[in-house]
Amino acid sequence: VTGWTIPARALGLGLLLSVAALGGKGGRARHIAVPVLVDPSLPAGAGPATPPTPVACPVEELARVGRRVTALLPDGHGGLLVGTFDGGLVVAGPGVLPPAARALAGRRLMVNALAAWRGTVWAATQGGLVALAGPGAGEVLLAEEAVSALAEAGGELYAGTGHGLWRLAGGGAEAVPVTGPDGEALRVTALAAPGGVGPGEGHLWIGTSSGAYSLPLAALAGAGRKVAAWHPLVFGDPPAPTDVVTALAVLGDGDGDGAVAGTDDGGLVRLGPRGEVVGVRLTEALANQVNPGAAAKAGPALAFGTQGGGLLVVRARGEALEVARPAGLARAAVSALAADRAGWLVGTADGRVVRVRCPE
Amino acid sequence: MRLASSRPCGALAALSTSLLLACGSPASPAPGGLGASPAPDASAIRLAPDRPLPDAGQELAIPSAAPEPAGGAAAAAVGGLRDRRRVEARPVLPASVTAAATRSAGAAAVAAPALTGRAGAGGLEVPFALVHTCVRAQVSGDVARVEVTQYYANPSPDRLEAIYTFPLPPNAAVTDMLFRIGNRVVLSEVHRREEARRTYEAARAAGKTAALTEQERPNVFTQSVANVPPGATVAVVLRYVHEVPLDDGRYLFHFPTTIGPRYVPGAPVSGSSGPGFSPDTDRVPDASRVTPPVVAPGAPAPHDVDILVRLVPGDAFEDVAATSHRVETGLDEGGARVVALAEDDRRPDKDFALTWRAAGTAPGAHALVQRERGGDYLLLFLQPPAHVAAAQVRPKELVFLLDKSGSMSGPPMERAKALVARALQASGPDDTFQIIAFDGAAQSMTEGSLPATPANVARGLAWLEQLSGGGGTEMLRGIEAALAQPADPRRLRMVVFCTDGFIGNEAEIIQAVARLRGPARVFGFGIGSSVNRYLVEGVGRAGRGAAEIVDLKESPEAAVQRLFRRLDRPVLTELEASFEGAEVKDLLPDRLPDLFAGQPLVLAGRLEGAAPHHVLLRGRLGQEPWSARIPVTAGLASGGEPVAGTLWARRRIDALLDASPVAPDPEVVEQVVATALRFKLVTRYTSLVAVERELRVDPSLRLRQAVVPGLMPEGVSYEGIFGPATSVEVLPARVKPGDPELRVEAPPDAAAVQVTLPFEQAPRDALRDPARGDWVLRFLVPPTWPDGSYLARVLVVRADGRREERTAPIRVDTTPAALAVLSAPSSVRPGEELRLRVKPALPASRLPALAAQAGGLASALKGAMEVKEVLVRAPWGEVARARMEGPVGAYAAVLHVPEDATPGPAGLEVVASDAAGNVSRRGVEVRIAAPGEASSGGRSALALALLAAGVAGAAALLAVGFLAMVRRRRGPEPLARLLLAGSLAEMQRAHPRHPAWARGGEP
Repeated sequence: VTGWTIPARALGLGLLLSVAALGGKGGRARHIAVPVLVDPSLPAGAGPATPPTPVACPVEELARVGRRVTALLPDGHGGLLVGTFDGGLVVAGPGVLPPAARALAGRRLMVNALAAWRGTVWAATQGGLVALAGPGAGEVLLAEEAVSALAEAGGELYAGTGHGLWRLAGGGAEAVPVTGPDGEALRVTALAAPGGVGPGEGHLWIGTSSGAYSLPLAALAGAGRKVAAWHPLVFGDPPAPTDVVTALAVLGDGDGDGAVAGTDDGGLVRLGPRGEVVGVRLTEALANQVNPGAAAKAGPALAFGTQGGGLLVVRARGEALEVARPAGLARAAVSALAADRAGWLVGTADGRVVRVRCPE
Repeated sequence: MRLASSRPCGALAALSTSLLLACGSPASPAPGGLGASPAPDASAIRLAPDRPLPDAGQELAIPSAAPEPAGGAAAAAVGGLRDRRRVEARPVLPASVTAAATRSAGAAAVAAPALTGRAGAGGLEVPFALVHTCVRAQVSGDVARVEVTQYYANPSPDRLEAIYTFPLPPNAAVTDMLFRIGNRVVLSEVHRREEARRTYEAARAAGKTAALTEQERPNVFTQSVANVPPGATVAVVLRYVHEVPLDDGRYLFHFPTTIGPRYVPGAPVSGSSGPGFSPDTDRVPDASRVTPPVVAPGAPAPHDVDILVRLVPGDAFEDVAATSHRVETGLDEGGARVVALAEDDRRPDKDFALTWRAAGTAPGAHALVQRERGGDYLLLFLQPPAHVAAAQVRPKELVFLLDKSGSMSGPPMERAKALVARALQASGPDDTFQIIAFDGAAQSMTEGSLPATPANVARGLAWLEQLSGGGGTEMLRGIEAALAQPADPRRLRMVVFCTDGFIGNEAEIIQAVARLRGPARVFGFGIGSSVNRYLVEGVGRAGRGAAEIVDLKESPEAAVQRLFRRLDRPVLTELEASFEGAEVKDLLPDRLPDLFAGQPLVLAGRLEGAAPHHVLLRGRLGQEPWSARIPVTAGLASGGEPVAGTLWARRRIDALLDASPVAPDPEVVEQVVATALRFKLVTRYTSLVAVERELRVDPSLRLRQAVVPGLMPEGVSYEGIFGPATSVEVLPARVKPGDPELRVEAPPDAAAVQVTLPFEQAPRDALRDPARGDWVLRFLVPPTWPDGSYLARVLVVRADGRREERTAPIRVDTTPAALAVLSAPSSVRPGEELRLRVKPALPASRLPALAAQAGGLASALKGAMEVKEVLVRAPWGEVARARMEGPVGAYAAVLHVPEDATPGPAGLEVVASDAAGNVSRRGVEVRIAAPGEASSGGRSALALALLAAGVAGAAALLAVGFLAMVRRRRGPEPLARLLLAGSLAEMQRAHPRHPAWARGGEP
């Protein structure tokens, strides 16, 4: 069989090409792994997995919207603006949908977050930041961006996108030049800031797929470059098995107690005020998968929504976190959260909106 | 299945067996099949031994059930020939023969084609159900017998139904179909079309493997194959015969390989009868059956074609030339000339065209007389004298009708313009001309025809120059514009109709030409690599003109010369034929066409008594009576099953339908059906169906339907027909279960985009984003979905109802990359820099799991090796981000040992994360040296070994990648052959007594 001579030549040519590829800076061979016999990897996360404490919390159904709920915003008058995964917005309870919300199309039907700021209701969508109601209704900022998170901090509204951090100012959105300590750009997946603090007090917490960052609100003013402190989740004690932050909420009053990050599949991570990172892993896999943006704060308690692991209610207990789970929602996929005086407002992946009243 | 025909079972059985093996196991001769007479050498021509065929469904002892690979038997056959040569596609092939044998017979490799997809956990992919087409043809005299074997593979764990709309020559009489699955062979029956479909659908529902062959147009057929079992390959064999046309002294054998996308006029009607990209319309009610999906630009060929033609006997053929493809040719041991496609030219995107001259002096007429189905039939191939005395040549009114629709944009349009320009320059001073171009509407250069003066010709050339392709193909408007103008009584109107013929309403156009032609003659000029010959030839016939095919490689000069040779020849009209020495009945065509002097004529009839010794042609040349008495010699014995009756029946069916091609009378339809059932022919009204009765596929398995796409014909612009191509991407490209976004850049006239996700049954509607102008679908990968690469199927529905399919891979990745340490110090002193170099590692223990992933090992490996970021933390709290550096792509991190670091062991934590957010972690131990102690290096030797292994792996992967790239560019054969050649040697060693080796062939 003479056919072998041809593959031999071809393989030779392949070898030559590989040498050339190895020499190039962008060569593909640079990305080829070294073959090894034994996997040297350690478990990505460490520390014991803890089950959430079941608590009895009455659950009251408020609405069924038929689509995955991704954002909730109470209007203060008994109505609730509900943002959905790809179906725009609806109003649950009294109230009407703002005209600007009815006019949404394309990516602007894909809502990630809602916020009311200075009388205007803003929707963060995959197609930009849309003013739904109030002054400037119908205006679209960051039209080319998928806006993943909103947070009000120090009287300003911040928006996070894959291209960084933005601040609403002067009728537009201005980029806030924040980087990490190595000059790395921040691809924002989540934002959180304390409410009710004085001007310049507290921190803005920024979630990314490479860990969490924090920056004193006082440092956010001005136009110069700002360097945020980096809190890699994977080097915690115990470490989290992921660096991807999907939701953030600030603990306690002010942010003296730090913040809690929900992760894509690594559970919760407490971010201490002095840079401590403590991973909290739950026993059920789905409870460790916190849905994007599914975090809320009510007094000293935080809530996180998970991908089939229910609603997690979190409180600080000294250096640790106490995690409870309302029994009525133990298996729910909680995809959006907000809080009002009557309890947690919960949106689910199957399109329900419920109120959960847990004991203080 | 029992045969419905009256053909003797034994004869058919022998034929069936032989042809089954012609492609799949080409190691033996086939007296009853293509190689019937004379019997060729076994090792050179891959035909099967004569053996009795059991009843359908009974197991056959066939040496190899494996189909031929891409790149297999055609070249293998030529590989064993005398006078082997490689021929570039060109008009003329030297006829001289050198006798040196260059290779021993049967040396080339033959094995099974690889499946194109694979079953994955939770995800199924059947990218292209048709993996290979093998064509074996034998030409004897004026008749070609052709066998086409299509291999359908089902790599999925579901049942598969494959639907393939494919072209054949328009004069092909499809006589048989059978299929093979494993060792079982199932023969077909002919039935009325609707009855055959009912049989097929019942078998499909019952889990029985079944095949159905239907005719959509005389040159477009649909092959459906139901219940291809998981992991199995079904070989469907089609057989047809046709006359080989002679024109201008040259014979032409052609085999089309793809269907040009058809323009469909009319308003869409509800529902679709087929899977094509166009909806059915009120003017083309079966449009969805003649518009198979087209592979997007840049995509690899979905399958390949392998063609081998035997010209028997070899010394009867001269000046053999393949005008379309590169071929290899030679004489086999039996004396036949064998022509096979070269291995690097098997992309099915253009017609295969092989031409030759008959050796010696061609007789004026020769007859083929054969007994078939209880009757004697005559085929008479007639060559009227070319050099009759010319009647007074009348001046001509040349009307050039130019198709400038979207499918003609680019090279076809340029070729058509060049052709018209050359014809204008060649027209005589007494001639007049007019140019009409059409797309969605017709546009004339001037109100009426202009004298062909130099000034007017220049004006015509300038007008031509500004034409460009684009728009629809409202051909009827062009025909009406060309033929409805008042005729010039002093001139003979000749309409030269230049088109690729890519329309779905052929019958309507042919009928319009017949209705409107008046005294004009219409010449169909097919331009392109895959012309719709049914339309072009039909227009030529209906217009009492002729048809010419001009491929994109041919010079316009030669084509124009041919045209003018024909135009300037006198025309024989009112022809009648009578026979001396025989009584011929049911002569076809029943009314002889007008002939340009020298134009050949084929007559078919039923014969009573002996064959005729003379044929007498009478007619008129101009106004004068004309006659010729032509002696008839015996035609070349073509061997194998008789075909004269079959070809007569095919002509009879054409004649019946020609009268009213769009909506024939029910009476005519019944006559067509009766003729087709008697001769086992596929027609518009009759189909072949074959059902495996014994074995079943579990009917509870999901039935997956795969519509086989075709390639865009060579030289035809995709954008010209479909507008800007649709592109699809998923962002992020590699995800954990989460919510990626699928983006579709669809043409502006897209009305809807539907996406079927791999983890959902029902399609979802994508949202049109007016801000960006694209379409988007946000979706969630289920939390527990396994790692792998899965295909999302995207259907773009255009405003006019056309449909377009795309796929986009969704790569689910929860596997982090492991890390290997390339270099790290054993010890380092306080105050020094600690430099650590790591690189992604691929542990052998992970390979089985990676190999099991859906979407293939390559994608899984890529995911497992990918690293986005490497972080290192030291016990003293420092965290360093590693950066990729150097030619091997090592990640290097630099840490700074504090002056006050405690001597002793120090554990470094190294964490790598990939683009999907997966994290791997490992530890690296170093020692902090005591004051005064020297620091030392550590793992460089191991690192070098690992690096060497990595380079070797990289080289191997790149070599495979290079071969894959070659395969993509050339079609799959070379790679298959390269890889399988080694396997063959292994097989020979492993099975030294296999009967295939004894025959000197391949298994």
